[in-house]
Amino acid sequence: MIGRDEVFSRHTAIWGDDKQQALEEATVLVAGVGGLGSFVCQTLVRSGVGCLILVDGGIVDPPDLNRQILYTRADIGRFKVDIAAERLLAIHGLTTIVPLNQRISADTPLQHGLPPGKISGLVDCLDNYNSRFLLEQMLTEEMFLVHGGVQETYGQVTTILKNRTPSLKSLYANIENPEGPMAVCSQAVASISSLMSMEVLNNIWGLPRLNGSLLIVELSDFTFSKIALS
Amino acid sequence: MITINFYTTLRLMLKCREIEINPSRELSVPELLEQAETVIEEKLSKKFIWKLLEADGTLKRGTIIMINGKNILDSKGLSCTISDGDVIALFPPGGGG
Repeated sequence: MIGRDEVFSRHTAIWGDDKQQALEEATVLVAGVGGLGSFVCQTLVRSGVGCLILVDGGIVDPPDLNRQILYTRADIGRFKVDIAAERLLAIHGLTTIVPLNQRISADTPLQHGLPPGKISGLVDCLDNYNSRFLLEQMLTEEMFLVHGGVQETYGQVTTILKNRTPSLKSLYANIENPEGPMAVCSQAVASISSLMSMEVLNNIWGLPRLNGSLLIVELSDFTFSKIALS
Repeated sequence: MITINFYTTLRLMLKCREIEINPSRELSVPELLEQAETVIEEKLSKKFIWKLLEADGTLKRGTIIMINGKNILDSKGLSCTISDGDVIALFPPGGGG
């Protein structure tokens, strides 16, 4: 086992030991280990988050390889959470990985003996709104939910806090997914997921920056905009 | 003034980030969109309502219209009214993960 002080020395140089310790004590549930989820999981593990619960019932398909950075052609046909757990554990071995091979439901953690009080926060890396609303049902007042979505060359990020920010359900009231396969590039996925990952750290530290605002990122002309939500 | 901000594919299509409209009275959402399209047509010779609404006037799938940061579909939908000083956001959010 590699020493944590060595692995995270470049981080503690930025934010100090106390914040690093807070990351190591956190348990984060990542819903969806596809495009956004692959990047988010990698950066959370490399940041030193103590425990990641991965929830995804999908297998790797060829169209995933343009952006789902945890997978290669050798993984086609295998379950994503199984491969993700292998790859994430191989990074430094200091993060506990709990792979749950299933689609998201409001009682997913309880089904696996994980009471909500054990989970610091949720990360929405899902690819459809119905699943996002199911994930939001899991949110308690003690947890945070970092939402991200991506399409083509743009995407958005926000933090949802129960009874303190507008809910995902109100933000995306009555929305339906566009029909057909989603057009999306890896650059947009990497950008949005990095912002989500940073906001997860902010939430673990109790300092969210996107609670009550929606950050919209457009890579085609490098525009970042914030909409104040009400 | 009513400020209308365009985001994501709408802004890229129009090459316009924001317009302002000086309303003479409260406007419904369709009335606002029509006035905004008139301004855009005069300025840029482009139309955009077809990106947001179906031919029957209903909202297209995946379209978000916000009045002061609140989705109209979480309120009275296209019947919401818009007044002087309101800020409107128009965009299709990224749906993928």
